[in-house]
Amino acid sequence: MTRRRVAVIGAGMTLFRRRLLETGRELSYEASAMALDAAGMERRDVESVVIGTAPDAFDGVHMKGDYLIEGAGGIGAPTSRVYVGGGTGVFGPIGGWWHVASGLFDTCMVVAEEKMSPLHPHPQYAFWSIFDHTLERPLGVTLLWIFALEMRRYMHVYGIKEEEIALVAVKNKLNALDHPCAQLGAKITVDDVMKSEMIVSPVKRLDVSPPSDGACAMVLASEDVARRYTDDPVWIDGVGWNVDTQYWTNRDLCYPEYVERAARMAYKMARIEDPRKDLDFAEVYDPFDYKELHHMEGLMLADRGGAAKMTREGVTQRDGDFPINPSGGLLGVGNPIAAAGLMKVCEVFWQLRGEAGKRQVKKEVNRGLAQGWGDLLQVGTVITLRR
Amino acid sequence: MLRGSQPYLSCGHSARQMRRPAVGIVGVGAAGFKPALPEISTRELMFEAAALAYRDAGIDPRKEVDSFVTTSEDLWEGWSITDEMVPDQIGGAGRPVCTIPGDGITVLGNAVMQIESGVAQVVVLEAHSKASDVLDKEAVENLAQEPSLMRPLGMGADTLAALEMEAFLRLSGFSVADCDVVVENSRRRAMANPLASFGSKRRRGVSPSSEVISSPLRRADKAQYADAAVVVVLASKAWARKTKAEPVSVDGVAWGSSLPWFDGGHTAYAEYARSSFERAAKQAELKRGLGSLDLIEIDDTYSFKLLQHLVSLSRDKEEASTVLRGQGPALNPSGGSLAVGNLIEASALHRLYEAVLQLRGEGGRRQVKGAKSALVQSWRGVPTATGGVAILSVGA
Repeated sequence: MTRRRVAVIGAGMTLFRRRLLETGRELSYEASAMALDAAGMERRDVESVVIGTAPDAFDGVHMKGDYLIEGAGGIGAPTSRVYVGGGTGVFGPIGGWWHVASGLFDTCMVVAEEKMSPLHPHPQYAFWSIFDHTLERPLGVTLLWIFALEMRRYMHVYGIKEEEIALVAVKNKLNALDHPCAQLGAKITVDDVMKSEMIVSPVKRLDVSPPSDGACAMVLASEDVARRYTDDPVWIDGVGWNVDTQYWTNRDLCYPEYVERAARMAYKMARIEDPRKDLDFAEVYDPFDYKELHHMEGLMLADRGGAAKMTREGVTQRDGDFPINPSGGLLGVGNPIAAAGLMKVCEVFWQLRGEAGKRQVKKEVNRGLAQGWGDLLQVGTVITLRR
Repeated sequence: MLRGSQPYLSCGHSARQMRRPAVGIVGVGAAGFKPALPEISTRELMFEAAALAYRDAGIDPRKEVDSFVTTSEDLWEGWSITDEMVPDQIGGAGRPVCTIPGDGITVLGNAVMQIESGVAQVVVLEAHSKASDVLDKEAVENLAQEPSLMRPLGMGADTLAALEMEAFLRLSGFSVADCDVVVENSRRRAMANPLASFGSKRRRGVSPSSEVISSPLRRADKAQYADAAVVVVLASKAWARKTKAEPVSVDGVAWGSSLPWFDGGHTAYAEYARSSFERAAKQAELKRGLGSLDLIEIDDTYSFKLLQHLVSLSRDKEEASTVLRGQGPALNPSGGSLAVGNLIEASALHRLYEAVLQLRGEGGRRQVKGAKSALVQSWRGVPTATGGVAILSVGA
């Protein structure tokens, strides 16, 4: 066992917007330059780079990881691209963690980029080809359809109402009003969500996060290096990831077992026995409002079917007992797939350092979690950080 | 701008001190290796290679593997988010699985780091090519070009390769006739490799009738696409000791990217290959450069790239010439990509597979006598300047 402690010492983030003029390379450069500035480092101090980016179809570039290398600072520094669909953003720092924890590198720049807007007529078209070419594509199924199936199943099994789920969208969009990079911060009501355009029943327009462009980056360092740059490192103390079968029709969609398995892996490493008590807050993956509830349960932050009650009672508010998505989440900040996941890890870092500004949670926080999700309802990625 | 200075390794290693990984290869499996395999799917191909590797390692993937690392690219696969379709057929469903879309040596490096970090003891690597399913391969290749400034020029991947070939030959002193020898040797070696589909006993170089794709690049200079899957089982030395496995040791592994030549990078040599070799050699404590090794499997996606890569790994022209004359380490005993085919993401793992067979004395008719150490070098293809190097040994 040669595991070394790994610290986060800087993070950066671009605006999240529907159509940014910058190229993917430029977005990667901007985010990584901000992370270096925050860490007090220069490019030559970075020994390795991990890039996270999701479907190549968004940017319309084959071998997108290689395309982004120049922007991410990877020329001359060994670079790897990691890929677990929508879970990629949280998986990026997990890949960065093993670069440093292994002892092969002392520093690692993690960059996540997504530029969804180049895909015409709509980014959703990239998802037509995520389905099995023989069994599923002939059905004409879309990503929104299967989310609708999962949401319906979740509501049915636990007796949860659409209005209870809508509270998540209301909370997260309100939180995002305090995020300077957010795309869709807004003060809305449950009624607004219920009256928004029906896309695929029961999923409505305001239940869904938007397509976005954007990038995030963070700098990881070994303990020795971290202490040379900062008195306030934030430690990565748990990582976990899990990918379930691609045959999503073969399991009960009411509960994300793969998220639980990823969480158990991370909790074991971080010696977390009771996540509800041992953690102070969480950035939970919320591409849809019901997914926040679904994932809280998979992470064992709520009993099965119990997340809606916690939300209704205000526990998950920024000033609540257990804040969930104080950043505003994907529903409020935006959803440039891989960058959105890394945004969550950045938010945990900023919260733990007390640098979240108007978004800073009220209670003292020493330990937080970020979680990603992806592929065909099958990926869980979990990382825990502590001061 | 063509940059041709410093074609050979000229000084000591600049990389910081890195120790040798305590990791070894305990099982390998390969399947396919045909120009087209219409009768089986990608998943079936992966399953076959995985089953062979698990049998070779003597492990149950559902119980004894801690992590699975695969490599594939969306546009070659015809899937968006192609990583989603990998777990079932390799025994990874419900387990830690990830995709590292990249060079096979980069994948090996990440698996080594997972083991060295303590998060896993046994890691499975998988790579495959089902290129025969892709109707328009040139379209996929060309989509790898930078979209705003480069793609509108309308140059195909082979045109870029031809321009690099022209510059390399001019700066290096090698000639088209040297490329002929590379092709001839690869095809001859292929006759002894049951996995190679492109063998030939012809001894008069490249046929004058070989189509010129983009001068000076001819059809014969380019490896033809083929279908295959390769699976490698990697384990910590501690695990290997406990299970009494006899691993092939991974003494050094490094990867990296340099500026592509059209962005101002070198053409006389491949910086990515050189820097990777320097770092891997440092880990492996290689004292005499290529002269320390019994065999080398280096990238020959195009014939001139083999020469360029060899130059990049050599200390001087004499060392490169020695290898080409057959007086140094055995060069590409498998026949390389020109013999076996361009296996896309599986190319690097195929070279690794060949090195493992050779070091275990299982090379059959192409066995390099007494092979104890090997180097594997890889390249991701046009338009990248990305590649890696791994150094392996047995009996240390």
